[in-house]
Amino acid sequence: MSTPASHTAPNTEPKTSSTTPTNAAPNAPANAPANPGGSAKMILTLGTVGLISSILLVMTYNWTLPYIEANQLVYLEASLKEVLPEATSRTEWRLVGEDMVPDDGSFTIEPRLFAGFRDDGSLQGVAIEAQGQGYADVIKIIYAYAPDCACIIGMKVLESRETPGLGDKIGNDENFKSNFDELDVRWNDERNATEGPLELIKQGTNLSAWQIDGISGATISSKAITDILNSSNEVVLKAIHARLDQLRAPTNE
Amino acid sequence: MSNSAHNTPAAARAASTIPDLVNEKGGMDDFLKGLWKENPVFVQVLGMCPVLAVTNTVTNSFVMGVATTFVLVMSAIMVSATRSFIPKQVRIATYILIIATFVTVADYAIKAVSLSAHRSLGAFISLIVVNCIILGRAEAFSSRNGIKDSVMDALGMGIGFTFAILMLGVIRESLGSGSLAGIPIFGSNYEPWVIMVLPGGAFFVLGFLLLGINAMNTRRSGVKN
Repeated sequence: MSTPASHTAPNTEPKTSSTTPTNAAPNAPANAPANPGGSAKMILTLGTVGLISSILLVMTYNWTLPYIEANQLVYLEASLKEVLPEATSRTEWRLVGEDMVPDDGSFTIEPRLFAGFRDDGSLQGVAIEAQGQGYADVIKIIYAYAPDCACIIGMKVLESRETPGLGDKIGNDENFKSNFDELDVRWNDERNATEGPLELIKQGTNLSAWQIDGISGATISSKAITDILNSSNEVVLKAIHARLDQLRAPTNE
Repeated sequence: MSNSAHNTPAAARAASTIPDLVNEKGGMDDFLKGLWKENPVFVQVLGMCPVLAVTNTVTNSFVMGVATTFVLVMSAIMVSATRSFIPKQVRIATYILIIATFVTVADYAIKAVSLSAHRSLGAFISLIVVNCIILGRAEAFSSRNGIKDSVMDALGMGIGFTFAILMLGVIRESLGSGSLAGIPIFGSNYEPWVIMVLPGGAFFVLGFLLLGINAMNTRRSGVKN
């Protein structure tokens, strides 16, 4: 009914749009080269393309999701292996406020903690996710804390946009990495403060156990790592020691 | 009939500004012109954002090239297939919608294949949406040619683009980090030329490459004349 009207008179647009657009519109304007526009057709075109696009995107999302999750798991396990090399099993926790709770999958943005256990079931250490501002953009790291020696036993940069060749050495410079082989963050007897916050010093000067040997040419990035560790330790170490007994159990209850 | 009414004004406009874009010889020519004669990077100088930003390693260049080629080809098919239905007032919006869809598909696909490649490219994958090579080919070629020719054109442009950024990637990574695709090539005594992997190095390398290619083309056409 609307089809003959729409290609005889150009002013029938309201009519076209008031009828069911799914049937009428795709055919009608194709017969009307004199009037190729018409807002109904434009809206319909964009709507149709949008609909097809969203279907395609949902399909792709569902199809790639398992692969993406598998990749993320592989990446996480490789990172954990690097900071906690002796651990063969783990329990997962989240830092909520100033407390740590077992990760039941209901958290999204809270920092993750992983307690890593050796073959014999003893706790090697706790891997902690942390982040902070670097020279360029946010640096994300994971580091391992061993409650037995009260020290940091490993650190890995997960994500950074530091300057290639200078700042990005925080992730690949062996000298800098060796700072974190056994970095003292010992607590006092009350276990409520670090003996001294970690300190960054110039490369080549004598190291104390709580000092980090910086990278020359990348002071800001080295300082960023130090600051990330200090601010994270302030909260996390308290939480870890408050729940140490629970942490030592190889399963989340 | 509706097709010609839709095409004529736009085709005339494009033909007056960019000659030689619509040629009659068919598929193979459409494919070959993107590789060298109308190379999107070296001749058309389009899509400079990824060319300068992600060519600091060979791997990044390669992934970016493949992703861009995929988006080019898929959007060429869609734009060419729907070219007679789309009202010309909303054609750019439609093209962008189509392009953005395939960029998101490519984004998920890269994440699924390699998380580390996705991390090192970061936002530049999403920025393929605004790469003017893709919208340029959709508007200048796919919207007024058949599917087969459009695919050939998109493939040629995509491979030409990949070739160009790979060239930059090889030069920048080998000089700037002393490695190719992460494998050291110069031995441990090589002192990396750090400027090459910084943004400034991209401008230097691209500038010298354009200089060389233009000098070559000028000399060749001089010989012909």
